[in-house]
Amino acid sequence: MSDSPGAPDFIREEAARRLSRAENVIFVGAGKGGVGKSLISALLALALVDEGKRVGLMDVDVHGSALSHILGASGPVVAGRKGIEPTLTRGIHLMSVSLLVGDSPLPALGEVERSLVVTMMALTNWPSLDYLVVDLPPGTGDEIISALRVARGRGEAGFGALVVATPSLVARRVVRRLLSLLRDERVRVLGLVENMSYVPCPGGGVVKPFGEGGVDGLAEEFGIPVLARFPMDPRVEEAIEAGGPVHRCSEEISRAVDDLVRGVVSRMGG
Amino acid sequence: MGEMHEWSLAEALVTSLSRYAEREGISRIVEVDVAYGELMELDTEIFEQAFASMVKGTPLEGSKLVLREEEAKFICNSCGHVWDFKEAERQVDSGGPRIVEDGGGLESPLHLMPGLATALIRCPACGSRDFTLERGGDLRVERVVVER
Repeated sequence: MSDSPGAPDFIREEAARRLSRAENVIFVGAGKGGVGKSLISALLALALVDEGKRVGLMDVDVHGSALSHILGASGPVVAGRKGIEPTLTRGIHLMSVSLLVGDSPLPALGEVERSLVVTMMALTNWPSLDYLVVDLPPGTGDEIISALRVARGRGEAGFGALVVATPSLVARRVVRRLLSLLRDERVRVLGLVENMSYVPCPGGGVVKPFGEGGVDGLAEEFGIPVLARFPMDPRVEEAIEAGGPVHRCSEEISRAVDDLVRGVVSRMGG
Repeated sequence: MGEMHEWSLAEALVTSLSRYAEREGISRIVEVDVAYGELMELDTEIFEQAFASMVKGTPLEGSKLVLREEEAKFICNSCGHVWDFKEAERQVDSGGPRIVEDGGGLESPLHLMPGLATALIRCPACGSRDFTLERGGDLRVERVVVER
């Protein structure tokens, strides 16, 4: 009999096992906040449900959690012997910190933040899923590294990332950092999603308030495609507030959503 | 609390240790020492019962499970006040969000995810959320005794 060194981190391992319940795991990240990453995550999840897929959506953005608002979901959350049940909203199995603590601020730092993300992943009782969309916090901080470590434990098959960016030059610089991190960590980037690409004008025509070409430049630099371009459209906000089908709130949004889903599904291999 | 997270945590522990034994060429695990934070309000009886029901046919069958509770300690980074689990629990008991157990009971999410502490409690002296949970919110394997 002897003491065995290197006892397993069983919470992290459980988190990886639970992510394995999804055939495909898609991380959605952004170089900076305010570019619409959570909205794109929600639109992708809604459209995948329309395609008949079994879809989970996990909000790992513990400080800026927005998905439950976008999807009109609220607590209380139910838990049982198998852990915490994701809340079913509009056909999506949703787990978010905001379902657990409401609108309270959560000023977690460092190790606590990492542990929170991993524990949430380890305790969520996902059903069998075709796609699990994971809405990451902006930037390249602790929660992203934690989530990547868990995903690495799950294995590379069926794992990819989307990066959301706006056409602005400032955004371009910070997005480059995230893309470099993902490349260094050998995460397969499925493509870029350009948000706030243009503003559709009444009567036709568009305005491009942030210019153009920035996201294409990044795509070229990293050898990845731009999967979809989303407009800035006030009908999105209206649809969220009205609880309507936000992914079909306008022709332009609907078209971009279709482009995105087509790109994701084909690059994940169906 | 109810028995909601004891079962899922015990299952995670048994699965991980079984795979660990397989990876490391360990024929039998004789003892497992687990430290758990006071904040988790783990019902040790239920955890032990869940563990015992899951180890049959695994390298953990017949193993001794030793559970050690770690007292919670909070330190406010704003005023320096130090407080314990009882004070934190008073705040949690007085209100705040709840998880519904599938038996119908209500539970604070703090017990499942102690990392949520800063969202659910404040420094009892100055009201700040800028505090550190220095210990008592963790769950980890401290020691595994094996036969090769």
